[in-house]
Amino acid sequence: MTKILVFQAKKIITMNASNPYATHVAVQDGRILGAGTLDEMAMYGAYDLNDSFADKILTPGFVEGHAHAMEGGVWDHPYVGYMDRYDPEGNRWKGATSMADVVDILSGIEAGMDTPDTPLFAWGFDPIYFGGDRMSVRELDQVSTARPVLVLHSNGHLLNVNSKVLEMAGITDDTNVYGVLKDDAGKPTGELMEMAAKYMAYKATGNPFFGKIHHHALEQYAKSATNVGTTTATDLFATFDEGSLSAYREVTARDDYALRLMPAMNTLDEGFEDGIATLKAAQKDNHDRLHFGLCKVMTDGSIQGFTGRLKWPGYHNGAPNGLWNMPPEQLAELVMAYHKAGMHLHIHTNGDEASEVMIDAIEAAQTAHYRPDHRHTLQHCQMADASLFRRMAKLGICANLFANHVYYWGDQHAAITMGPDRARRMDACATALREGVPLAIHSDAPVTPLAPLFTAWCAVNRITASGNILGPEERISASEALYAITLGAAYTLHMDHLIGSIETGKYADFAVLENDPLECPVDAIKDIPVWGTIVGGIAHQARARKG
Amino acid sequence: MGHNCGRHSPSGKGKKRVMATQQPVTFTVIGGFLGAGKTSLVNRLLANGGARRFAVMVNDFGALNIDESLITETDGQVMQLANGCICCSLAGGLVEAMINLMQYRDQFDHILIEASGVSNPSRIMDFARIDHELRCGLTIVLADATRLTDQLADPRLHETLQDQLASADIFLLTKTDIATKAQIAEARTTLAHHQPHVPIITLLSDDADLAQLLVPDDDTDSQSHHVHPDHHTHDHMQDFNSIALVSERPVNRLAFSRICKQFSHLILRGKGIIKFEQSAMIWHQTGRHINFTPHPDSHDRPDDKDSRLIIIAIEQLDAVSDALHQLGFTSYHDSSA
Repeated sequence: MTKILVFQAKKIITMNASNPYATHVAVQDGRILGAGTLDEMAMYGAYDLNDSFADKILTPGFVEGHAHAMEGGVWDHPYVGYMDRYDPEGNRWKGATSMADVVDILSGIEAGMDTPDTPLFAWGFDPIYFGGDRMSVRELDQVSTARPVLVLHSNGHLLNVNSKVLEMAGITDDTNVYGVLKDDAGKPTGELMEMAAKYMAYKATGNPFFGKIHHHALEQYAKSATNVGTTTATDLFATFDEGSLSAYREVTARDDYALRLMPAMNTLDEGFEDGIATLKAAQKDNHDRLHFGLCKVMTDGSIQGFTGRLKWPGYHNGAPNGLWNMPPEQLAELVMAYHKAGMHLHIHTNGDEASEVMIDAIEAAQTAHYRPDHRHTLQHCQMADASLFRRMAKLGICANLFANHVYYWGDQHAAITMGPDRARRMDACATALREGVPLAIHSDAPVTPLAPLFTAWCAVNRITASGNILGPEERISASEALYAITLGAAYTLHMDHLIGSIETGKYADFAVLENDPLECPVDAIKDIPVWGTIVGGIAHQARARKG
Repeated sequence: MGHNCGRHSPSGKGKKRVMATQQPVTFTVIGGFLGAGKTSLVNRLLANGGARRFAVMVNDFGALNIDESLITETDGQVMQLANGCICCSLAGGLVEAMINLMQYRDQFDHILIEASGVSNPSRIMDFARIDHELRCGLTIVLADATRLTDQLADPRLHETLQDQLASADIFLLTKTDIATKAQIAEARTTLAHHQPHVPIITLLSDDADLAQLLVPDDDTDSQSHHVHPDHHTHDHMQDFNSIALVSERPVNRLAFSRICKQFSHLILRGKGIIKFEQSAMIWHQTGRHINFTPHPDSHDRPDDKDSRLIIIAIEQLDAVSDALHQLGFTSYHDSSA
């Protein structure tokens, strides 16, 4: 047993209902002995006092139930999204609010690259904010005509390339293939969609995001997490090949790794039996900072990409219904097999039809093989209505709602995808809680920034990028939101006995904040500075924000 | 909607990365809904592929009949087998998997893709339309005779299935051994109603020529191929007839192409050397898959002016035969009796 360490804070919000607030927390062997006053903590025995956080607020370390470790790796490449973002080192990437901005950012980076042929990949481009303007070779050729330049859109479906990439890929005026967009004169615009066109580009240039997860991405992911007070995060779509598994094991084995990592195996990579066996084998290596056990299932696409599967009346603008990743019948078989084997499913559903199909599947699985505490979770579950939430509550299904969507694309959802009425119930946190569904909220980083306080702010305020309040009835309170990013998320991960509150026996994981999220004005929750985190009793300071 | 490959000429622009000595890889897509028998078909093609060196890409390795002792090498994504075939995992998605696979490009002549039950085979065949290292093979769409009608009526599947049917060069009606006659008739009617220009065949359990029909080997050695009537090959296949025709006059290309499209639902296999007014071409057709490639010998053998073709067809061939006779073809050896 190591010596007891007592952390002093201005206020400790424990999320432990029987002991909600404290000023001191005692830690031993990386776990919480207790929280209370200093006198109370002294009763555990001799201790060292750490009073460096005496003017700060401690909360349970934040739990990100739906993000991707790629958040750590994408920053090796320039970001050209619309909104400002911070990378894991704390550098601010100013948003590209026009095509000219994108060209400027990329030209600056291109000028600093020393090897002439290395492709320049940029990511996060989101022209949904630019009205009807589309990017083309015209813009990207201003960056370079000698170096391959590729710009990935934030929606994941589209890719813009310069003329050098078109040339390398053999895409010419004569290429008449679906997904190679052309201008009125019949020339490829450099905008590529669908698999075949993107295949041809990546075959010529490579794609740095392919392949196994790298050590570096995992290292940077932990930095990103520390910067925003997160101490446990999922990697919610992981390929369990040997390279990736080794990377998870090796990086998290380091004592100074500041994150508890929960990779979720992509169940579509293998047949059911093989997948279950792969996961069970991986779980043998679980330790304090690495928790295998989650299984990811993809069902439909995205709402803003018009690939989510919707119930009647479908998309507001009349776009055809979305796409399944797997036939519903096969998805149901998958749920049955994994459920029966005792696995824990995290199921991506965006549209309400996808949510309904998966609720049906879980109901069938529960009927055939009852499990009292499965905690299967619908991830995103953006369009569920009250009736679906009621069924989820009855069946013990959790919801991890994509609260950040309300801010980033809420305006587009009201105007284009869902229409004014249904957009009000997107990511309906209040309905979920009212109907008794265990609730978490998430960022899906790097799709939107990893920042649980921002996510909480979205759920509390439901303010869109243009400043409208989308569905005020679905706003939740600050304390409900704080619960959702701590104990609520921990519950959906089946980790609430270990993380999510400051409570005896749990990991000593805290977020160290400069202000009190329950006392500050609700519109200021996202602006609370984060000093850093404490993980297993070890403090990790956030990188200073620069730029 | 024509199902020509969309590539203008194999010697056109953008070809410079392909070494002249390497034939493009034939790219075959097996589509169709869940339970239609796609994996079984892949297994049958692997078992009866003869000398073909296949690379197969499937969703679930476990469903393939692969004896583990045959696996000679694997890097986790690509598995090489002792019989010369390669299996590639779709983990990470088709784009990444195809890029991986093409790094082994000198080790196979055919790629077989088992499309997932919800994918649109057309979007997959686009890989062969855009990549000059590939050539379009058939898009084969399987339909379960016992369930097709119900599946099409399901609003959750309707659009997906429509896309699949629309992408087919040829339909393979499966489960006919367990379907009732009424179900089979209904399925045929449904398919013909949705896509009247696509031939429908049923899978026969003893059909050893399946690979030759669906993944014709002569696509890869067309330079040495000699067309001749060969009506023994398909004798045991039910309801199939063949005709062999010759023409001493140059053939009108537009009119010939029109016949190919008009009768695509009957033409199970057509091949020949056609001396058009402008040039001699090798013609291959299976259902809606129509392919013309320049005939390499046309300048070397000026004395051989005849066009020759054979067609193996479903049902009677009179209509096709009549149309071709009007174009100037005459019977070489009528085997339709």
